[in-house]
Amino acid sequence: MTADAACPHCGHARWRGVWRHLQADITRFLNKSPENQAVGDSFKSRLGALLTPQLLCLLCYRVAHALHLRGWRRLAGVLVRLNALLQRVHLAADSCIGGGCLLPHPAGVYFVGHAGPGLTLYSMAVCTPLSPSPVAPASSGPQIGARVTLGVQAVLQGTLAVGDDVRIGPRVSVGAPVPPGRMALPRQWLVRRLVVPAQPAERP
Amino acid sequence: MEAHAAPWTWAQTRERLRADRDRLRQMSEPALAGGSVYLQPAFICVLLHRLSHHNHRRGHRRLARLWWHLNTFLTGADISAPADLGPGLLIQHPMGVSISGRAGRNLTVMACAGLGSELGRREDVGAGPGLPVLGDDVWIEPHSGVMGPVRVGHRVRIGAGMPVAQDVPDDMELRPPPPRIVARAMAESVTATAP
Repeated sequence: MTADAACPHCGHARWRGVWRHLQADITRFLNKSPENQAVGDSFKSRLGALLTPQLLCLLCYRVAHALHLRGWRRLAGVLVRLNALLQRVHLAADSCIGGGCLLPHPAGVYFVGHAGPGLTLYSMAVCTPLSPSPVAPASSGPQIGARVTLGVQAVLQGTLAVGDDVRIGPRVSVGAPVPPGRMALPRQWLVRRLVVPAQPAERP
Repeated sequence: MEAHAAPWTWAQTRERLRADRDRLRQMSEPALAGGSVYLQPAFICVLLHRLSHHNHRRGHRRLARLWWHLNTFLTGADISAPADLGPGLLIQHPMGVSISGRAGRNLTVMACAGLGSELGRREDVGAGPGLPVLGDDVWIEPHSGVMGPVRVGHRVRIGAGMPVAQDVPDDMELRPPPPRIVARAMAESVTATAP
């Protein structure tokens, strides 16, 4: 089996492919907000962006993924552990994530699966197979389309397909396929007025 | 949980560790060969907790705290030293896991899940003030948790994103209601018009 056959979505086994997707990650980071856009798109701003935790973890993952596809499984595992130790994020080396990925707050994110370009993973989002195995293959995890957003503490569990342009709301756990262009919201929202004890009147 | 009748021995800790290792090997797919199981964060975190708990039971509280903090630093799992977890403990992804209380055999904890006390409740159901007690073969899925002094029976599966704050009998599966899947344009228009 060639490296490209193991990862049919993109040319992640070649360093050119890794660099192209990393460039897309940096571009997305630089365009994500007016403050970032104000910095401009120069070599210095790109290097500065690459040294933020949001992109360092993606750099580590993309190198680990390329090494995994080239057969350097143990070295890829070391990089995944390094990512977990330094950035507190687990992006499995055999997972395939397209370019333009954004992790605004990497800590607590757990990803085992495949995703298209433009993926957004907010803090503590979890994509996992049903099996509790720590070495479960990414093919048994969720298969996510392009431009998908997972909210804070959202959970995608099992071998399920999520279409393009889907948004999973915060604290929503999804265990069934989601068609393209949809949004998953929590079933119940409980909003109650907070009862504040009356304050004694001030003396004049 | 502080008063233990018989003195705790290293043989008991080693027996639990052996069961943890065997369960990790058994549940892993593809199977972990040879010594690679010892390098998995899932095993390292359990090993550090067992050392912490062993020292706690032997009365070496400062050493127990050291192992506890080392575990939090290295693996991201916050498992308190007094937590009494039976053999066969499996933690899929230690990052963000928080555990304090008591559990039986074969507890499975997935990513970002946990069990612990709830603020304001101090009743003791057997694990210490405000802490939960879990039976054998309990499975806690991602982002779910058991909070407060509650008893969870044997062979209970707690679904993803499910908070549990009351007693659960044996052989139960708890799942939150499935999410509403709506068209994205409609959901965004509702959000835009909300005050």
